[in-house]
Amino acid sequence: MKKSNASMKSFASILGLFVLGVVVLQSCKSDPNSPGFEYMPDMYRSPSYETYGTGLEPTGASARVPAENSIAMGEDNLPYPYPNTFEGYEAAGMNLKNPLAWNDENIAKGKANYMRFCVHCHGKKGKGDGTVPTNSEYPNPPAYDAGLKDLPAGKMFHSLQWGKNLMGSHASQMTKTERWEVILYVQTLQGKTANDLMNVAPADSASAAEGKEQ
Amino acid sequence: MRLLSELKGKLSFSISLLSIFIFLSGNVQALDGEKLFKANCASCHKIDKKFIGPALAGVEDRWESQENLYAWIKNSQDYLKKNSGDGYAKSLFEDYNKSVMTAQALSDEEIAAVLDYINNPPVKEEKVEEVAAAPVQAEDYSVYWLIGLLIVILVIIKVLMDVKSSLKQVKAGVTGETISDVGPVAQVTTWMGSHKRTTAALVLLVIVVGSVDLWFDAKGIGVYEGYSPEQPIKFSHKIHAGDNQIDCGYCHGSAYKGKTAGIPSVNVCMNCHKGISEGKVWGTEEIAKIYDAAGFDPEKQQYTGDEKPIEWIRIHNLPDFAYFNHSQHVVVGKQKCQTCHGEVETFDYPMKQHSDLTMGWCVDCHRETEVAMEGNAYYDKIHEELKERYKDKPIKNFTVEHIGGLECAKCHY
Repeated sequence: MKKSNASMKSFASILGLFVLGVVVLQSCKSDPNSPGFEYMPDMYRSPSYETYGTGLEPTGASARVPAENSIAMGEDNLPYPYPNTFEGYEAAGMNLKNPLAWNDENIAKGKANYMRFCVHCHGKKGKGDGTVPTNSEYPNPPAYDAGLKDLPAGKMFHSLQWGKNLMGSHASQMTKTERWEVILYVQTLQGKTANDLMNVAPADSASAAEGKEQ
Repeated sequence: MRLLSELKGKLSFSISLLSIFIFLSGNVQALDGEKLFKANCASCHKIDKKFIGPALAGVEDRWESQENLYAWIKNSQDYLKKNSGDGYAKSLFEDYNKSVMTAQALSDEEIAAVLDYINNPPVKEEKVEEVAAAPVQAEDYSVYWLIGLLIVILVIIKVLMDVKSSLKQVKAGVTGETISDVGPVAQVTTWMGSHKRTTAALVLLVIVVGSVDLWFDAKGIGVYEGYSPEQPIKFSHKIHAGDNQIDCGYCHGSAYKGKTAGIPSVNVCMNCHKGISEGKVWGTEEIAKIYDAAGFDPEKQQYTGDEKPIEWIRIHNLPDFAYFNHSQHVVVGKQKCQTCHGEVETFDYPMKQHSDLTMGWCVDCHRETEVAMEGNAYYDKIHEELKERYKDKPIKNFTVEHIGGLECAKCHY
């Protein structure tokens, strides 16, 4: 009798531990701030610096700004020659030419990126009626077929590089080639055709744009 | 007398008509001004607040003459050239970062209408403070309920046992019997001894239910599905990708170019938030944190250079022994972001992990997903080779499995 009593007791304590385990496992799931249990630190956290990790001075972030004057590998990434000034803007409008050919393939690529990077402010048809200005206090940008009708490609590129008025720089989001492709598509929204681009000297379009562009 | 009153009536009628006309025409002008302001000025100016350019309230008082102001609006660069002695105009140009105010092709009447609008801005309706019922994270309280219930039941059992034993003592007192005072544990064990079958059934039930529960809990170890930690900024994907239809790639563009989808640097936030300082749910509180990180002074509309990184909490995390490349899936495989991340454009704050990201989940998808080979330059060469290889035994559903999507070394190397 005594012996069975002892085994009964140990059995009961095992049962108790079992129930406790179940409850503990349950309770971990209820905290949204914890990812939950893991068997071991199973290479989820690397001892090396992770892309968006912490621990590097001076900011504490592992992501660093590239050293000054560094040039990215790949396509033509030589420094942009026109400074972020009024004179630079004008000079870019006069001298910068689109290195890409006016063809359907490039325009289609430009459209894809326009729909990713521009459409929510400038609108599907470039009328300045995108979802962001429609839904918020953000002012409507001028339309490509009105206020910006005669904006030359060089000025567009300059604005993408440095930002213009309220628009920020999109140089960190699009490569140079992608920006020129987008500009081709924007020119179709301006109502331009391959012919227009051949005939209009950049200097003329720059001075013509002056009066209307905002 | 009657004639006089008739005349009076007519007169008053015409006066009221006239006043209506005046009122209407005034109104029309005000409307025009608003329209012109929004079309030509609002990208850079606000009436009561510094923006890209100065606040426009009281602009007429700041200029020496109306003539100068009009000339400046029409062509500020030209004005500066001709009136190099105008100190105010010069300082304006210098103070605002030498950013040139674009020449406005407006007539004098149109400028007057805009100035009229600026002097009589629309009265802002008092915003009824919506009780921003902060969407409180619904916590899972079921465990606490369970524990609470257990405690209540234990208390009831204890009380009932006490009642029982005191009744026994009373009975013993009446009958003169002497009973040994047994403890509750001994009572339970004696009860278990006399009800062996019930006890066995109860124990079995606890073991079975517990095991099933334990099994599913154990399967969840190391699986972070549904993980939704609080973030330093209450960013809502629903507002950005849902309501405002901003493409995923605007912020996570590197998903199309490389291995990681990327967390946008704060300059990407500022592309829009330079112009949007107040949100609909949290007001200015959360957007101010962006300004803080970017080192942007919204009062002066200038960057101070005092930048701070935003410490987002990482949600999706694969162990280092598993290789995953976003661009391979998104660009080559033409998968939508939503395939793995769920309908993120409907996820409010906080963001959560939609899929379990286990190997079984990867493999399942590789078994089911057909390869998008048609018109896909990436597969041109492979397609030719495969056509040759499967000439005699064509495969109907050509899935990722058939191009080696289940080979260990594809992801583990």
